[in-house]
Amino acid sequence: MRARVVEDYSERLEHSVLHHLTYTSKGYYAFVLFLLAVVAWGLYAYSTQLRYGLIVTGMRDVVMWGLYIVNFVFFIGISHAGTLISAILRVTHAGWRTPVTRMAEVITVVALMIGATMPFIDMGRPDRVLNLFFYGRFQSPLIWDILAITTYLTGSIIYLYLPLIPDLALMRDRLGPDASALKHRFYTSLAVGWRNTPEQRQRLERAIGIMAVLIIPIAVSVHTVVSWVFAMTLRPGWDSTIFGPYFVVGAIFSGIASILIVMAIFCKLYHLEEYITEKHFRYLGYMLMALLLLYLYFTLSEYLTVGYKLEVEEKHLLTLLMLGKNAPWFWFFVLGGLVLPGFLLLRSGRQTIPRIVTAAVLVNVAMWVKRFVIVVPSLQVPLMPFEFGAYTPTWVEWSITVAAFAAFMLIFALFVKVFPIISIWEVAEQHHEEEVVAPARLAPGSASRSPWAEPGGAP
Amino acid sequence: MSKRLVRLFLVSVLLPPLVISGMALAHDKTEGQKAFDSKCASCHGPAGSGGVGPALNTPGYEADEIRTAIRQGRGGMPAFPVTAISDAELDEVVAYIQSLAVPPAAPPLPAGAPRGKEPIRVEVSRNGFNNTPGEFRLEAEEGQEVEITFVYGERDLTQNNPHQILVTGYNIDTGILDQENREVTVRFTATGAGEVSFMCILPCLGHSNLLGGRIVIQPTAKPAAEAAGVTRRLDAPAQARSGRPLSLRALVEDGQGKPVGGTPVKFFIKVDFFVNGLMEIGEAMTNDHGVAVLEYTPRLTGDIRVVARHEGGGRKATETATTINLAESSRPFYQPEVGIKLPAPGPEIFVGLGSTLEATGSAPMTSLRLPGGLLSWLLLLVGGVVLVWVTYFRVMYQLLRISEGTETRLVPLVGMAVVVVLGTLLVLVVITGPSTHLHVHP
Repeated sequence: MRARVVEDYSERLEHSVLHHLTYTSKGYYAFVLFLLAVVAWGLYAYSTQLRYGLIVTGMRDVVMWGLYIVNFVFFIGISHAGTLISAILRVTHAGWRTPVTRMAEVITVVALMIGATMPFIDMGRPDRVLNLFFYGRFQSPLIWDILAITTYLTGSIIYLYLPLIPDLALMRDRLGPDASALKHRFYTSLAVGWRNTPEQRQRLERAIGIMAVLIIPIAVSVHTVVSWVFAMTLRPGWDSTIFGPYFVVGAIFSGIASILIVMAIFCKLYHLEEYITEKHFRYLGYMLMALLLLYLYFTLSEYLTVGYKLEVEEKHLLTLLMLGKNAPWFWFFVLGGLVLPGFLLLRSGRQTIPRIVTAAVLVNVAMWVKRFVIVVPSLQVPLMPFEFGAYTPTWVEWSITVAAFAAFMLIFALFVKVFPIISIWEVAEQHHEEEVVAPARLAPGSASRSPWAEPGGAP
Repeated sequence: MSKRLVRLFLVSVLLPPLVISGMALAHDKTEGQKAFDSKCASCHGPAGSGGVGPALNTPGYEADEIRTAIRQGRGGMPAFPVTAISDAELDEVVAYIQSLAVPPAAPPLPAGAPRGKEPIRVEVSRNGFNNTPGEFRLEAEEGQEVEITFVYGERDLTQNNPHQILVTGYNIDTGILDQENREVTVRFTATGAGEVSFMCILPCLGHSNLLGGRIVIQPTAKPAAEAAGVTRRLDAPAQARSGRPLSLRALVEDGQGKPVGGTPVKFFIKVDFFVNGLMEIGEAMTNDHGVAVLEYTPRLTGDIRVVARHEGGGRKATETATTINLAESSRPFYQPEVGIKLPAPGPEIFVGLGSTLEATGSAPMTSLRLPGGLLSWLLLLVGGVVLVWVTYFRVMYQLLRISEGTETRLVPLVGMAVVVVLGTLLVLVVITGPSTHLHVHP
């Protein structure tokens, strides 16, 4: 009886996840076409920049970093969503993670791809990019960035790929005879001959275990190094010893918010309410609140220590931030990114999911703004008695920024057309654990096996 | 025919000056001096006049002593291996350093007036200056060239730290402790009556009570206002090199052509920096021969207009000007601090071409350099990177084992290849880089 229920569950799960891989709605095509158009517009803007040089941007000799670097820090930030959170939950054996991990890991890989492109777009002479490798010195924080981000991207792709293998094998086996040969070859080679034998399971679990532990310090190192690109200078607002942990906490903060948004979108579109429940939103909401408090603490510590001592340049910076032309940005970050989401997360009552998702959207917008507040005003403060720098992003920069977000969604949309967005085997296994094994422990004798533990693979 | 004549004429007229100037240029800088300028002068000062490192233009340095110091380092001085200074260069440098000890030629204009008083020597000990606790005062006279030498008797007073003495209000080079003689000397010309203070501007471990004192400058019997005069002449070398000190000498005479002593002359250069105008570079008092001397280290290049101005004591100020042609310096004016020198666990490993930016004019090719040899601190970072990428490789290997017995081994094999290539590339990026500042320890 119970086995029947479990099988039903697995079938429903497979159906609701795999259905979207075969069936494509008109709305999907329209959405992808729209995103392609936006990305194409961004490419046109970039071609303008290549043709006329960085003069078409708002960046000048004084404020020499702008939206591109803001996007870079933002995307590298939300890349922490994923891998770090999925790895932490995996290492701590949080069972509820299983429907969420795949989404988180995809966010990581896609955000890293987009984020890592940004510094190259920021370059005036992208044709000289290889000089970074030929003439780079390890003393330069930019080289640390290359080192950390390359390592993190590779690790994230491996970490995304490993738990995909049993699902890929499932899809390989489920492909109908009418599926194209290309599809067959694609899934067959990616499934690396997975037959769900005990030896294969053991090897895969060991590999996932190693990667889950390894990816945590790498993720921490990545955002620390990104912060050091700023903190290794003497500029006001950047010259800070807590920038490493401050950035890491900010990254996890915006990362959790990103997972919440993606979760809400797929819950709605794919009708995954059975697997992604209010519990998931609530748990991630708690994590978001904890990180919000931590980020608030770091923010307070950073600005108070600077404002109490108030060196000349810091005074200029704080005036610029709190009262000057950057005040709208700064106060939006404080009120819209910390205070308001805090209230939303703390309020109890009905409508949990919309409340938490609203908070998550606010946090993500505010964290983008916060990166702007970090990058630009510091550069506006003159280090010698000259005029304040000015920066107004041009249409080229806005276009490329919008295209970057469109590209993020586009890659995401294409990914979910090819791969299942929920880790089917892990969810099924977790369900089996909760529904069958746990009650069986209470009532010995009715031992049952996981549907995934049988050699031969898919049921 | 006539063309040939013209050519011959041109050659005969133009060649000799070219040859002569070429000889002059060649003579201007020996190999040893070039090497000294690029590798030693940043610490030991131009022509070994002293700086962070001791002055080398004093006699008494044996050739072997210099050689050992260069190859093995000494005190705070780093070692210069063969990759930085070749054996042939070393001999040249040693010869050049020994040639520095020759006493400088007499200045062309009448030398400054003999000092009104003997040079002052001050003993620095734990109890205070000259064993006097409490505030310490020195006396000087207006217009006098004051020379004060601070003698640090006890070695642990200075902890081998550099010490610099500064006299407030005077635009003088600060005196730097010579670790060998354990002395610091400051010289300045007292321009106005009143009190100035002197102090050590570096943290003096072990003698925080010896931070500084006061110098009372008594007015001279002849007030400066009487010394009305006209600047007659400004002497400066027509040719000089930027970054090297040079002497500016201004002659002040009164209406009868008699030299006016003890009167201040201000020196300016013409600059074009947002506004066009005169920038003061210093002030000096005239001596009994009416000559004010300013030691000045220019930082600009090209034709620089120098102006000496004498206020004329109530009468109209007079100015004299001259132009100096400043050639570009062969070395950077600014030497960055390179941080704390950690003890190197082993001899440096260097593979590749060592060169300086000046020599090649462009970035030199990348080379491998492990400052501390096989036990370099850098290897901690390299070790971390290798550890991570070896783990990636092992995970990929697990995938290969998963695919064992099937035909779908492409993905694990490609994955392993990518991991090996990327990992190797990143390690290479860490341990290689262009080596341009070979005299600087990383």
